[in-house]
Parts: sequence; C-alpha cells; structure tokens
Amino acid sequence: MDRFVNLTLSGVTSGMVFATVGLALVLIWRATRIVNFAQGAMLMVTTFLAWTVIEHGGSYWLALAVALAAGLVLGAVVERVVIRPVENKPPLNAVIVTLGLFVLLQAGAGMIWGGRPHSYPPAFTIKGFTVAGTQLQLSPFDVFVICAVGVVMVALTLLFRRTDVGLKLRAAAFAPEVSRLLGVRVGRMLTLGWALAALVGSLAGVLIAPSVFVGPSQFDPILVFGFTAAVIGGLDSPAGAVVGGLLLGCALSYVSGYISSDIVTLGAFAVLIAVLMIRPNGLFATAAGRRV
Amino acid sequence: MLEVTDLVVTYGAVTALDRVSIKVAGGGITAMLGANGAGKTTFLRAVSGLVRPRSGLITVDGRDITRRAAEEIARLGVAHVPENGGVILELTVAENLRLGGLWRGRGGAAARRRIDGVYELFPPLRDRRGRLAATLSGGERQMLALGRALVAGPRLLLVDEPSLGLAPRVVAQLMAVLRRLRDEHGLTVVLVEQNARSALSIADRAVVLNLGTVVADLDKAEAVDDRLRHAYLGF
Repeated sequence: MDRFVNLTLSGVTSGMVFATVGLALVLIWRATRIVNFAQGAMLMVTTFLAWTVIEHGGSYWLALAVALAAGLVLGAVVERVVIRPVENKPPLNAVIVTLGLFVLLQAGAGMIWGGRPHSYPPAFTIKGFTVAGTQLQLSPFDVFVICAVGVVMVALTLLFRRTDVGLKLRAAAFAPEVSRLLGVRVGRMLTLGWALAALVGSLAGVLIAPSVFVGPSQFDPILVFGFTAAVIGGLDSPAGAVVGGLLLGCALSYVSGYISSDIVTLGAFAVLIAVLMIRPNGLFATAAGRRV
Repeated sequence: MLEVTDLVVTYGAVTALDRVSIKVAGGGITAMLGANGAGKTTFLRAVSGLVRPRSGLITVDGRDITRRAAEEIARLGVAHVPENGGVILELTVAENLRLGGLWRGRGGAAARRRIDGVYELFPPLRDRRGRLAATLSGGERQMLALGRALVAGPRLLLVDEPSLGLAPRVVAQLMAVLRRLRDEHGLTVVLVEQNARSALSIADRAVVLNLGTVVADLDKAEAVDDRLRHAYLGF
C-alpha cells in the first residue's frame, strides 16, 4: 500500500509537468492547428537561460522569472518570424518548419552551452516528507511543482474565461475570419497565443530540470510525454491535457515501480494506444464536426 | 457613405466582379439582388476587406479602404454579417455579443447598454444569453449575428442572405428589425438577398447583379413597378 501511494504521488508530480507541456501544445494547436514539435527545444533554451542566471550567482526565483519572460518573448518571436509565413498554408509546411526549428535550437544550444548535461537546483529540498515513520515520495519541491502548475492553470482559465483578451483569443482560435469582421486583430492574438504557450512550456522546463538535468537533448522525452498527454485529452482541450498528463504520469510511475524503469517509454505508448483505441478523438473530444 | 468605383475581383482565372460601380447614400436600405454566382457575396467581402480587389476603389465616407485589413475596416464602423451569420458556436450568446463591441475599448457601461438594446430588439436572445450559440435555432443564430454586429454601433451594415433557410415568419421579423434600424437610427444597410420579394419589401433601392456586373439600378418606385421588376427580376 505504501508503495502504491508513493508511486501515485510521484506519478502526480511528473504528470503535472507532462500536463504543462501538453497544455503548451494544446494552446498552439487550438489557435493555429499546428503541432509545435519545437516546443521541447524552446523550453530547453529558456531553461538553459535560467541555468546561466544561476551559474552567475542569480537566485532560483530570478532564474525562474528569466525563463518565463524568455519564453514569452521566444514564443512571440517564433510566431512572428517562423510561423507567420506558413499559416494558412498546407499543414505539412508547418510541421517541417517546427521540426526545423527544433533542430536549429538544439544545435544552437549545443554550440553555446555545450552538449554535456548540467545539474539544476530545485527550489526546495527533494527529500520526501516523513509521515508516521515512513518516508513519502512527496517532497517540498514536489508540492511546489504541483502548486506552480496549479496556479498557472487557474490563471490561464481565468484569462480565457473572464477577460476581454481571453474572449478575443478564443474567438480568433475558433473563427478567425469572423473575428476579423468584428475588429479583432487576429494576428496579434496568434502572437499572444504562442507567447502564452511558450511561457507555460518554459515553466515546465524549469520544474523538470532538477530531475532530467539541463542539456540540448535532455528535454526530448518531455515533449513526447507532453504530446501524449495532449493527445490523450483530445489535443483540443486544455482540461483534457491536464487529465491526460496526470493519467500518463501515474501510468508511467506504476510501470517503472511495479515492472521496470527500462520500459517506461513503452508504458507511454501503451496508454496512448489504449486511449486511442477506446476513444479515437481523445478523452475530452467534443462531438466532432464543427464548421457550419 | 459607401462609394465603389470600377471594382474588379478575380479568383484565379474567374472574374467575379467586373468593373462594378455603386454609390450608396447614407441612411437607406440598398437591396443587392441577383442569381447564385452573380457576385453579391464577393461584393460584400471586397468591401469588408476579406478579399483583395484586383483593381478599383472603395471608399467609406471619402476614406479609401480598398486595401485595408478586414479588422481595420470593421473598426471604421463597417459591420459585415456573413452568410449563415457566422456566430461562433463555441461561445455563449452573451460572449458573442460582447465580442462584437470589444474593439470599441473597455467602455463597460456603453457596451452593456448596447447589448441590452440588442436583447430588447431580439427578446429570445436574452433568455438564452448563457447558452452556447451552438444550441440556438437557425433564426436565433441570425438574430444573434445581426445583434452582434449592432453592438459595435456601426454606420454601415452589410448583411449577406439573412433569410437563407429560415421560415417566412422569422424572415419578416428580421426585415422589420432592419427597417426599424433605418428609420430610428438612420443606419445604412446593404442587404444581399436571393429572396428578392422580402428584400424589396423594405428596400429603398435595388441593385441587380448578373455575372459580376450591375445590370439594373432601380429606385424604390421602379423596383415595385411590376413591368420593370418582371423584366429585371423575373417575377
């Protein structure tokens, strides 16, 4: 029983990070119908920036702020410079462009920071809480991870549901042409959408960095898991990405705890295939067939 | 108000509009009639900036809008209600309405007053304000589309086939609203219709398009004159 609780706890923690990456992918997919394969590389770059701040004696919190701000800027720049020319073009163009960006960022990071992974400090101790003599797989840092992701999710929900900008963002994503007729500057909304998504991604990068280390290709599995989380949820639903991330986190944790940590990736595929067999459009897909 | 001079719009090798010139004075309803493919929808899309004209000049109140972006044209007070209304199904009725007035800035009270005005114009919308637009009937969607355009307080309203697929009673209701907006608020309306009979019931003028050119421009008296109407419109 202890073991199950511990595996669940660590599954929830990593699931929250997967959910965050999934959320970044969903935000972009909803707004532009593009799967951002460069998401992993983008959060790798912002995490490297945060690591550089810490290397130069900056505090954890300053580094986190730098990563988030860099994510915001990077997302906006990527949309304006790289994505804008392929919007409204065949979907394959965008796929190739984001893959190219992935390669470019990874190679660039290797040139600047080298290929060797570096350690990244956690905000709080990663020594688990002790309850009634047994040590839990839940540390103060894990609690921080869960809270940070929770705060971001609540903030995003409020932004989308309660503010004028959120209404414009949703309208621009659902019906760009009609939105333009209503005076919504759709181009700006797309830039903002990418910026927000990259911000969310950069948070995930900093949160996962202590366990995967910081290196040009250290975050590749995170993108795969985040993508799986998003697909489980239906790729179109932010709530779905969160549930997908938690499901995946727990599944992977059970696989590595009860079977073997060598086949964790296999576990991700098993979850993905199981969900897609039962609900091909994802768990949270709304009745398909929009377009009037 | 709206002045279109020698407008040419092409889709690839197809010429959709061929040197169309129309002047619309302020404060009236201009019906734009014609068969399928006559170029009526293209005309509206060119005015509101959704398609780029190949040549020609479009001005609103003397201001050249020919190559402006659609969102900037909307911000000049040109509201375009596209075919089928274009309500955003994933948003609630209230959100659709709020969206219509957002470009005017955060004028909270003024926007709320205009939204209340829309609810008065179309009472069914008030009862369904919290529901997703996807749950509305065809007639209610058209009301929402029209109401959403009005929230911004436009000076020129372009409406594309509001009667499409609606029951005659609902169409009459919509036409009555357009007439009221003209009479009480001096709104200028360009009404594209295939349903010539209902459009002519409220129009001050009728422009007939055929294969991308203006073939008739009738004032109200002519439009209701049986012989002329029969010659141009075939009924």
